[in-house]
Amino acid sequence: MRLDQGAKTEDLPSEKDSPTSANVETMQEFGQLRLPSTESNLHVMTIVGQIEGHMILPPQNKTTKYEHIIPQLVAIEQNPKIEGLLVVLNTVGGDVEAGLAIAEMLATMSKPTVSLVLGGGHSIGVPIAVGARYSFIAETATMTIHPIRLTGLVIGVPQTFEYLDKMQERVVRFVVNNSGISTECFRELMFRTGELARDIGTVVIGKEAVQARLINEVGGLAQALAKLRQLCRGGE
Amino acid sequence: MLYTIVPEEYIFAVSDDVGHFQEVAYLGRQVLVQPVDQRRCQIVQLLSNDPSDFLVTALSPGNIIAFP
Repeated sequence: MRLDQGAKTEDLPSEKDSPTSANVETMQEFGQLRLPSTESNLHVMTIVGQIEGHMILPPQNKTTKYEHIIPQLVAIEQNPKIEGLLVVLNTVGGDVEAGLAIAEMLATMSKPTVSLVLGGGHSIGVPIAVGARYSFIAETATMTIHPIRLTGLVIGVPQTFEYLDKMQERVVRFVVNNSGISTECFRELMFRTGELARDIGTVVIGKEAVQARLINEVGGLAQALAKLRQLCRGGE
Repeated sequence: MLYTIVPEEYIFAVSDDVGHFQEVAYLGRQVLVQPVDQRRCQIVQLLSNDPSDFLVTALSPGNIIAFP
């Protein structure tokens, strides 16, 4: 980028719309074009709001998009400078397929991954949290475990239930295979009545998630990063 | 199929007063921006997983930049 162009842009209105002059203007206004070259060997991925998959959700929803996350995971797996990944979750759930896709990608990465549930890791956030090699939950963070719902046009035939059960089973199997929780325990939490106001299921808070063996440990940023560094050094 | 604790009526509620965001590349990073006028936009979110990018003030949310 040539600095001396900056003064000329005012006199040359024809150049104003060119990409070069836009960059010059940016530089004049904010005095920065080059990024510092410090790169972290541990990357962080934040999964917030709704997990967006097949459908673009209305703009009032804060979303984490599948098409952002998946290529980033591929890039992290490939980049030799990146040694580990911290996944920070504060999600209300979202698309089943997108959530499971992210969880599967995390679970099959060769680089160490640590997840940290902060605030909430509900619904489809549960498989993502357990998809990492080691998982943490903040003491005050919650996870809601409840059944998948069918909305919209529902055909009242037994096949509808079977289909729903199949979708449910995908989530249950993934969580059971990637955490210490048993199928019975997870299903019991999922179908418990009397705990949620509008639904059946359970809210587990901090250490309850650890007691159910869903999450490995209660902890915060320091513990999660220490564990990630330990995994990067080859520890278990 | 959505698996979430947020009720469907909230997710698909119609509201007019929310900003429409656009994804652009700025300083080699992807950022989510909200247009301010024809030529400028405000950074809403930095889409990066390198934590050091978040220390770069030029990429901070709230910054008004020329449309890249």
